[in-house]
Amino acid sequence: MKIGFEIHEQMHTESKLFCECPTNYRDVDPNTNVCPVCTGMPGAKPSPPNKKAIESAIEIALMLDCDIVTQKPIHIQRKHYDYPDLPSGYQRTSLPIAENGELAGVRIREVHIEEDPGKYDPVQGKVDFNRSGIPLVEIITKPDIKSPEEAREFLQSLIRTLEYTNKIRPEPSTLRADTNISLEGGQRVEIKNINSVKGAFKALKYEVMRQKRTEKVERETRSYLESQMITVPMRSKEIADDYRYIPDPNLLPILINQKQVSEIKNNMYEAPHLRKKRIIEEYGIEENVAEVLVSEREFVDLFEEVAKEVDPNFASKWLKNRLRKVLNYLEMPPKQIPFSIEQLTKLLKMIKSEEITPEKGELILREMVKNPDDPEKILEKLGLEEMEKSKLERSVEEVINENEEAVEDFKNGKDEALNYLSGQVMKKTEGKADPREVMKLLKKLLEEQGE
Amino acid sequence: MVGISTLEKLKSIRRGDLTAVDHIEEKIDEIKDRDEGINSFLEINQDSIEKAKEIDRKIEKGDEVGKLAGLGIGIKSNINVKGLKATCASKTLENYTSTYNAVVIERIKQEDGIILGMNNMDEFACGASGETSYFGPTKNPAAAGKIPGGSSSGPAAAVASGLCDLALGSDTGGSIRNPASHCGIVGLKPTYGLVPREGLIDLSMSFDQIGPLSPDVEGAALLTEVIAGKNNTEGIMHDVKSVEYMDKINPDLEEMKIGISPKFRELTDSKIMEVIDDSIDFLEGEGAEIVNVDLPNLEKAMPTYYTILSVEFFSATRKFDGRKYGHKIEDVCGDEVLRRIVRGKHISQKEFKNQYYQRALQVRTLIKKELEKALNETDVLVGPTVPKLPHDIGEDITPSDMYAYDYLTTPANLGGLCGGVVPAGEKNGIPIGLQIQGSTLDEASVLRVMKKMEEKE
Amino acid sequence: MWLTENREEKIKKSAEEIIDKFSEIEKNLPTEEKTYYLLSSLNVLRSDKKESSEEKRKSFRKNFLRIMPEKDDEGNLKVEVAEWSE
Repeated sequence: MKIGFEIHEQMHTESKLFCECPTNYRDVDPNTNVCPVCTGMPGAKPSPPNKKAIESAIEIALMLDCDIVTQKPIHIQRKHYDYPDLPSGYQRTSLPIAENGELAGVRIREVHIEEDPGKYDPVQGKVDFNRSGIPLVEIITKPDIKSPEEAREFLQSLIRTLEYTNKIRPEPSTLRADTNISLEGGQRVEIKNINSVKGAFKALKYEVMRQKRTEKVERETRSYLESQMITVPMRSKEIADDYRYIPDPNLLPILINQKQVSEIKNNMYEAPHLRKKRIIEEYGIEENVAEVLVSEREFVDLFEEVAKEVDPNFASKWLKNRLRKVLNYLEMPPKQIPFSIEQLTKLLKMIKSEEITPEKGELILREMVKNPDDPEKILEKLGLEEMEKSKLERSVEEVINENEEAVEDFKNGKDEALNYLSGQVMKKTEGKADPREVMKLLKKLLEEQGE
Repeated sequence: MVGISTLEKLKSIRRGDLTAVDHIEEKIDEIKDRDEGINSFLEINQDSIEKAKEIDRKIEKGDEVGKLAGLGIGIKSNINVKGLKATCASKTLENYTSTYNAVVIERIKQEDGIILGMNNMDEFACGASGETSYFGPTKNPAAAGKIPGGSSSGPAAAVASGLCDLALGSDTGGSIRNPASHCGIVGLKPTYGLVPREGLIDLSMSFDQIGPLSPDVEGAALLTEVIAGKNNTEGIMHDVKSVEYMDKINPDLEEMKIGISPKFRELTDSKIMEVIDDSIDFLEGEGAEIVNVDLPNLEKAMPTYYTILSVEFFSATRKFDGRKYGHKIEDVCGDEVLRRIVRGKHISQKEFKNQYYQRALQVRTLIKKELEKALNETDVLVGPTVPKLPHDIGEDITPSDMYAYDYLTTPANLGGLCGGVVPAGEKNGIPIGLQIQGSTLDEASVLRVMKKMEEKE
Repeated sequence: MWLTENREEKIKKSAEEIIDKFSEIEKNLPTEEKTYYLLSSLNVLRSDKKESSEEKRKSFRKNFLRIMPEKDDEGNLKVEVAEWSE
């Protein structure tokens, strides 16, 4: 099975690609952020391309480990086809600005920029040109993906990577994807109109099923219908046979120089695959731990901050296992974490030095997320201070006395009874006891009893 | 005010001898009276008198007024003037009221020029005769029964008949120079990339340029000064902020090298060459040195031009789908427009691109180099504007014969030269214009020679 | 209505003439670099500032809506409904 993608994402700029209209198309009435250029008025001429859009595309391409095209002028072409959302009857789209990248084992064929068409509602027959002209980055992969599940993972990985740059439009997602799929030796089918990762997964799952029960799979273009989660053949009228590409005579080509690329490289956020490699080398942490850390840039930033003062191996695992868990439970992205680096560092130090137990640490963490404060103070507030040894002994004794049956079971060889007793101690001490201490004491006292 | 120079008119208005209102009212009246027989205007600007009043008020107060203060200007119908119809003389855009001003219009208004109205033209600038307008052909006021030339037929005829002081046309393969020659007036095609094209409805984006038509050289120079200069919201412009010609066009030809090519003679009717030779003799007598230059591939420019143009025009007309304004172009346009669309559609296909479009871009380089070489050896090239005299309006002529008018003017558009036309004489009452071509951005040299020609009897 | 069989044929035929002429004249010419643009500059770019004035856009919007062949209350352009839409 071979699956590939052509992915479009809007880049985050103030003005459109070839005119100075604002890009906040969702916030305004229809046909408000428009001008003669993005509405295809007779005689309108594109203004020189938006520099930030080009730089953003270069940065995105570098994130995907691509080679930037620096040796030759890059033409902006006219791609001609007839559709109501295309005001000039052609779309301006550049030749590749980058090639030969890779992400999560999938090769990236090329990256280029183009302008967004307007928004056409085919059911109601209406067009809004607010979106027309917004800069898009298009990423084309080679058909290296081997299953719909892999496709889903790849897209998630890609979106994360794009978010690393902060150069694509923030939520709600503006992802648009076309996918192509061929089964063992069969014809290639292209599927358009996919607007989400879930949609891509469903479309591909359906396509695999459909192709398997089709005797002769034709090479065709199909459309994904989100509401029914199926693909249908696209009318040939909607597919242009020949786009009649010509370099746009009103726009001079772009020439990217190596210096520009180096500058962007030096100032950009380190790509996740590079970051992962570096933190493994620099901090000696495990690969699967690093993988989780780099999933979001704020998360790995946090790690490197605390790693300045806390053992990286310990810190990395703790972030992966404990912090990640709490954040997922609260559905809180790392960038919204309210407590400070100092507070987190202190907490980790307290746990590492065994001043408090990991369980207590987690309780303090949960509180810290809700009401950020010095962990020592929270420790007090929650009454989680180290339980006095005598108090603990007394609680263990009480539990042993109150649970004769469990004690009998244990003496008869049922080890699970010990866990039950331990749980009762935790309950009695309101979680303040150290489970390891509890176990030690239980065993000791029970043995002593037995004698 | 007939026969008075543009500069004199301006002085008159500034002095208060003549009010702008009187002047413009007169022009409007004349248009109403005489234009029916010429058909050079498609629409009159109802605001023009108001504008004239504003200018008179400024003058009365002693305020500064712009370079074009009080002059009435005709605008070819492929240039956007907000509130007026940029029809391109086609049914496609018959009801398209411009939603914005072309940059050149903003500049004219800033200099207090008064837009009199929209001029007739060949449909979508596809022609060299003035006969293909959806709104009827334009007549030649200087040669009864003959075509006025095109595609800036309306601007040329309006200037020639005194219905406006100056006019703006556009030149892609000769559309300013050709009608200037046939109508016996002055026309200038500025260097490609000197005058902003924002607001000019495209014929062929690589060649189009807006330029002046005028009764005299100084008027053309002045109007070019106003419209030229970099526009930052446009991608392809020379890095020239502004131009000044008035102080550079003293007609002193000492040490000027004027190039002529035997190719001109080969391609042109002898009746026309008589007048051209006479002009060249005159220029030589005035101190210029005549240099023979070689332009071995000159006649190849025209088919090369049409090959490139057809692809670009096909692309440019995709926006006329009838959804946002107007009608779908293929449904309502005339034969020549359809011919260019069909041709462009055909040769821009994947399988033909290398053979035609890409190859034409190569031949373009060849011709460009040739012209540049010739202009390295000279200051300007001088010769005929058109290879044959204008035919009768309505005469049945083939598309190929029509294209043949463009042999001598298309090279400048291919090569990025500037080119001006000035009246040189006549044959059987038909005006003949002398074409002067200069290097990229060397309008000053061209204007100098043109100014000198005005001294010829 | 304009594009009758006859007219289209006639137009196609006459359209080809100048292309045939071009093929003829270019036959013996050498290959050259292509001239796409008369200006040799590259990288004419624009900084990402929102310079477009709201005034200007409001005024354009008014004119744009005014010339629309058909529109709805919100200002959308009305066009054809897609044939394949459910």
